Amino acid sequence: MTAIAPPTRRAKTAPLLWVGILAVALALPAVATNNFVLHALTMSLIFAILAASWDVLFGYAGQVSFGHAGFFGVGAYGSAFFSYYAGLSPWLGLFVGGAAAAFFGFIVGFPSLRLRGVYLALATLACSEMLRIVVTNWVPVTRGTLGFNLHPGFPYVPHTPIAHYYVILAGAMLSIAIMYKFAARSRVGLVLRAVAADDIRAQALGVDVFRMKLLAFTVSGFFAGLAGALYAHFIQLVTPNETASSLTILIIAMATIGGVGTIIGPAIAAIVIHFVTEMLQIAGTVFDKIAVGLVLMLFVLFLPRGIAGLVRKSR
Amino acid sequence: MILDILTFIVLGIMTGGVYALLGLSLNLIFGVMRVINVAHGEMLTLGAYTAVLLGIVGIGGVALPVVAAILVVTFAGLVIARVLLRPLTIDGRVHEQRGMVMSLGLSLFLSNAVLAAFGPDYQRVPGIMARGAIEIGDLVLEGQRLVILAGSIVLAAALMLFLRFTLVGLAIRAVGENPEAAQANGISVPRIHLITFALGSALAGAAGALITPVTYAFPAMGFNYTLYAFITIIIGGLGSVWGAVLAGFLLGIAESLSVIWLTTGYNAIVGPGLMLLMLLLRPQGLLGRRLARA
Amino acid sequence: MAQLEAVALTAGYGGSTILNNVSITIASGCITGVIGPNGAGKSTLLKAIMGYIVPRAGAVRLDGDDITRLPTHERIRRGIAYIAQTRSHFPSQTVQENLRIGAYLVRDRAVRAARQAEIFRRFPILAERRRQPAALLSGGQLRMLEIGRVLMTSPRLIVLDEPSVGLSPALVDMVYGHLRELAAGGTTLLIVEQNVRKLLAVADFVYALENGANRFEGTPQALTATGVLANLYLGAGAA
Repeated sequence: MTAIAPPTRRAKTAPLLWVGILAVALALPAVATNNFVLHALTMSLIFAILAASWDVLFGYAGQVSFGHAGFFGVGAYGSAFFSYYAGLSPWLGLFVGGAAAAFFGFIVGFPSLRLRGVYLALATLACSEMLRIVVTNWVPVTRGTLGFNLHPGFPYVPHTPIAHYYVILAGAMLSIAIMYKFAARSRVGLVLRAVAADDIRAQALGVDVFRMKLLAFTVSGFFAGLAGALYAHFIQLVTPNETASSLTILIIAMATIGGVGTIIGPAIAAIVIHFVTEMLQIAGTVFDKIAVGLVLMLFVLFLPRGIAGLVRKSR
Repeated sequence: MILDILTFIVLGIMTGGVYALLGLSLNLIFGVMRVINVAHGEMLTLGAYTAVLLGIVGIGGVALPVVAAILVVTFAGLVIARVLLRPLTIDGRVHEQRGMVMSLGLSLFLSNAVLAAFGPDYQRVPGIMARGAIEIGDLVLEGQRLVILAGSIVLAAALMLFLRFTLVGLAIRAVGENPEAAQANGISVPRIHLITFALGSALAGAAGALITPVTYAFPAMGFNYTLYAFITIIIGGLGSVWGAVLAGFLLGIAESLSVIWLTTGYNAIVGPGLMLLMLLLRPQGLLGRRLARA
Repeated sequence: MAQLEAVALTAGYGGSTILNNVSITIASGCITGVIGPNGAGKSTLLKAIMGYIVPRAGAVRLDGDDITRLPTHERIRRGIAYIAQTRSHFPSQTVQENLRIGAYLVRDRAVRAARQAEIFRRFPILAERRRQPAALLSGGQLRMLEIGRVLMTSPRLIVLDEPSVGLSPALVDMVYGHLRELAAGGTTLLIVEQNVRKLLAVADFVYALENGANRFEGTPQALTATGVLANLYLGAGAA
């Protein structure tokens, strides 16, 4: 089962486009002054990091992960615990959360030595579910279904929606840029894609296939965890819901619609999908997720390469 | 203490029956079409809510809701297979990645559609039919749970007999084993796919109708059952009919017994834990034939 | 008795083209052979004839009717049978079940029983192992099972893809003996082979393919008279 990115071409229009996007992103709060809207935008950015991290693992390394909610949860709880129980700064907590999730990813990646396809997917799912059960039931530490809310928000940052937006915007842009560079524009990324395409042949060519897969899991885990940590200090409440597989399903849907194997596609799709569904909720409709499911099915039928695939074809 | 253990084992057998049924039906679909059907649990949800609907109208009992669920989910299964899965089928097998993502979308769609239609509250089927319990010595067996077990066994047996002794059952097995050769014998692979998916889904729907008198129905109930269906077939072995049955009961018993050591809540870790263990040590499961490097 | 024509077939997979404007005619009641080196397009030709792939251009006609786009199981219904190169059977099903699958389209129980009896008479080893899984059969026995399976529909035309592959010379003789008997009984046969000598000994008419195109057609005698064979397998310039 592979869905690897086709060879990337040098995009000549890119730099100008990114500057434009950056400008828009920075200026957004001036236009979108409604707190609810800002909140939705901020959450969308977190989803963008998540979707991109999933794409690194699947679109580039060819490893199916059904356990991304687990990485997110480890990052969220990890950072929360760190800043509460150890009393250290949440800024540090971001990296601790990310590192913890990276480690979790490393462990979860071990089965990838011998498993692939549905078997690997189920193994990652098992890990994620086991984490969820522990988190739900280890009440003295995690406060179970009540959720953990004893940790602080970002220090030195005013507790306003605008400030939070900029913090998370920075985190998102950095993360996505790094992931993109890592997966799409580096030698390591190239090797990863070779492994995804045909790992037996890659091995014959001298590639340490297992190490590459573990690397992909670790990197993917780190950023998913980072997203979780950002979430933890932003919302200031972490519940077992953040480790539920419904989150994984949503991420996979976003990545697929955006276009697997492009990093940017899933990120943008995540922003659009989450923002739109949040806005729809104000309008009083409960049909947001129904729509996402429907859109996903339509995409699989008619646009399997996602929106990014459409863009690529029109070039 | 012995009584406790026995009680747990019996309870485990009763839940195991449902797991076995779910595993069998998912195995059927996966074995023939090779599609990872993440929406399998939603078929159960549809069946459960069919029973809920009937309950609202005042129709209770066992047989009628189950039959109604089978009819409804058969229809749904046929539509899904024809509209969503057939376009993804190449050479007699569903495209692995696209099929899985498609079923993800279906799962999202269905569980939220049910949410929209019925609301998030837990629904119970009013008017439980088989009240009372059978007592063997000090052991108490709830009547309703016995009905569920009996129903599961009947349905599972019916499926296995069907696959073994009918021509269509033979054709289904043939398509699962070698679609090209099956086609070469005049078997219409697309039609067998439709039948298989409808059949597998209908069984899940029947399970849904069976369990509603005991378990609450809620829109997101499907995913957990999908998970347990996968756990069952991984432990039993993909492609093994008896494996699914055996694994279903083993899983039910293990999960139930584990309450002795892990508190209720934590014991849910037994299922995923066993699946992970099996995947790491013996991916082909207890009785399976296919290798992990499929 | 059936006559099949493949007319100007162009076919391939994905972006590549394997067959280019290939035409063959399988005359009724005869044994027609197709030979050619690896990659010549023999398997692709069979797939187009059987309906596993749809050609980009050209037509396939059965007794004059255009079946180019007909689904495979419909072609079976019209009396074409196919024995693939490998794995044409169901290993986990019993011999009897394999035969039953072969008779999938045969509704009349009496007819099925009669044909099965005939097959057991022709291949006693199958009768002996009727309740064993096909996976336990040896290579030669599997070929017999496949032929038996195909005979359950009493086909008018049998298409065989390299029937001799993986068999010892004695077994190859045995298989070809049966094929000759079938042809004598009026069944049309299309045989693709690597074992050229064996095929030339039984075929009435032979086509040679090279690089997806027709290279030669004629009787086996005419073929051996020219130097085409050597060129085909050893490259141009060989004696």
